[in-house]
Amino acid sequence: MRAVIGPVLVHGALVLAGLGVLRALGVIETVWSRRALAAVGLAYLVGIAAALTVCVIVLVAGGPFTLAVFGIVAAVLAAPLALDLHRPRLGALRRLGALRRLDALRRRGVLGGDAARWAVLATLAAFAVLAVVGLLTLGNRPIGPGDTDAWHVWGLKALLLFAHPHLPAAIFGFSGDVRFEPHYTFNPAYPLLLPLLEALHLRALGRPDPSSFHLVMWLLAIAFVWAGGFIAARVTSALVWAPVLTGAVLLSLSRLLTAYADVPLGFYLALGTLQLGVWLQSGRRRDLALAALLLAGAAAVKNEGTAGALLVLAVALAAMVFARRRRAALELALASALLGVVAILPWRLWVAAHHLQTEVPLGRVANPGFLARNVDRVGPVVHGLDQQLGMTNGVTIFVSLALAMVAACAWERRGRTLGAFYLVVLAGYYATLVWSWWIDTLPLSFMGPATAGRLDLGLGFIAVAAVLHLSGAHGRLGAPGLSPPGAGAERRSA
Amino acid sequence: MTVLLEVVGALAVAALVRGLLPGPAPLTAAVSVVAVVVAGFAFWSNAWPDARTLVDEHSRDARLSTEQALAVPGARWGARDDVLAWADAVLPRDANVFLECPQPSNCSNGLANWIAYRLEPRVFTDFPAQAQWILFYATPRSALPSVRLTRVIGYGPGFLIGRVAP
Repeated sequence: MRAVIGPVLVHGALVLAGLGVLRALGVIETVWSRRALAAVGLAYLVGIAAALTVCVIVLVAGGPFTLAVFGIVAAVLAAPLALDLHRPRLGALRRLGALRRLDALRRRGVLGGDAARWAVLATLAAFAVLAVVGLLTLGNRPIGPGDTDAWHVWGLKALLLFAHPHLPAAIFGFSGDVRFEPHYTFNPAYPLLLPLLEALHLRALGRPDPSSFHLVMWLLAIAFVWAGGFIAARVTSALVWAPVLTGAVLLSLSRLLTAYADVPLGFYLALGTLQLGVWLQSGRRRDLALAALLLAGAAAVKNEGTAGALLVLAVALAAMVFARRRRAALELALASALLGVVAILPWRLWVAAHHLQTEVPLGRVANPGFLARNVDRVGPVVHGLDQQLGMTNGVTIFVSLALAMVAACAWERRGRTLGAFYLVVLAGYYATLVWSWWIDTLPLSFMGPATAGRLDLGLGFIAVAAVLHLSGAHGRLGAPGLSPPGAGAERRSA
Repeated sequence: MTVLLEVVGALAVAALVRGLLPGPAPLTAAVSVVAVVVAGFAFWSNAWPDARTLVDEHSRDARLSTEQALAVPGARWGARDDVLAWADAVLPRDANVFLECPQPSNCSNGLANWIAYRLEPRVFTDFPAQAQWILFYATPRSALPSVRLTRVIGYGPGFLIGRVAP
């Protein structure tokens, strides 16, 4: 019984924490609304990012990670929902059936015509069925024989955090294998969000069962589609976002079920980038705050996410400075600083204080001598990435589509600022990947097979965000456009 | 280069699609249609096979015991799970352990890491002097002649656990 009730309570608490944050930001006006229901996926992802970031800070400060501590953190984050307790509108909820909602969407043109409407409904219904199938089947899936990082890098930390209420500094300090192949370490300095989420799930289950990790991944995938639909509905039609989001999940399914962190990173990076793109148009603070939270999630999943989040923020900042929107640039700079101080710095300080091996040799990042000596690594890396991006059976297919969309926007002189934003983010992330291999000293013969079909996932998911947002630039396919205030001005400024 | 070809291809198809759209359709709308078709095909062509695979794999995994499921990744490295289960029962959970399993002859690096994972939350050390216990895995006691042990527990030939003398 606990195997069911425990996870339901814990993941439900994450949703409530996220709803509380969304309520505080004004993304939802009351929890007793259809909008809150539509925001459940987003709330789950925001709840994870917010609650577990706080838990990392507690751990770093020497506090424990227990269900009780998590419960307190989740309760504090969910506290804004208390504002709605005195005015429950269950009656209103009952009156608002799904068909009535769909009819309203149809009248607003969000779903397009009849055939388009049925295509959207069929896609979402099929995904819902698939989601339930996954929830019912993935709870007993062992870690795959070839999925080494799932146990070695992520699962081990989750099990340690299940066994210890405190950060096990001694174990994290173990080199892995100092004598023979040092690159086989379990990367103790990697960000902690995913192991914490898995450890939380294990605590909810009440047993250290690595076979349950895939269920956590599946929940993230469901939340990604749900949250992506919520955000994308502001800028494009359901006819676009429903197939793009569900297609992206299925195209990355085999990677998702490795229980590696690459796909969760892609989820957060895509949604954070899309939400920041929305903010570029709307200029509303709540949009910026939400984007910062989602990017904080990306930064806390993996090092590539940290680099990706900082890159996306830097590109947006450059766009604001270029457009001479000083106030927006200042707000963005503040949000970026907060993200760094709250979501990145504490863990990095703990790593430095405990002299843990870091996998990013920062001293080489801008060392001209080192870069010149290793310039022969660039060619094979570019070739390898090109091969991965050229594959049509993965989420990277969206990179080509996003670039085509950017070209079309440039050709037609519409949405060019947004197009430039996504183009520079994609190019910057690509350059970051090349650079990360350039400054590394591990043999490419090891890194190539170890990362094949994984590193490019981040690019693929950023491209998903670009396709969603830029598809709304033309105003066709029933794209609803951004909501007031100042929707017209938002359009013009973008 | 492949990506470039795909972009040009997508734009060419979009240009054709634009001619089929009613009214003066922008190129971005046509590219959106291409994206929707590609993504929709990706979803609908995979949804049913993926669902079937999930169900089939669930049935396959249901036949595994908890211990067998736990041992699946280690099998790739040739791990003896019976030995690891024994070591898990013998070694105190808060112990500092040194794994004596010379690489690469007896132990692949992956196997060494698997052993450390399978026996978590024990702290594995880089050198014998840092440990309270030594796990000899596929290695005779004579591999560490200089280390004095106060207690030795055997499982089988080459598999020993020794308590390091303080």
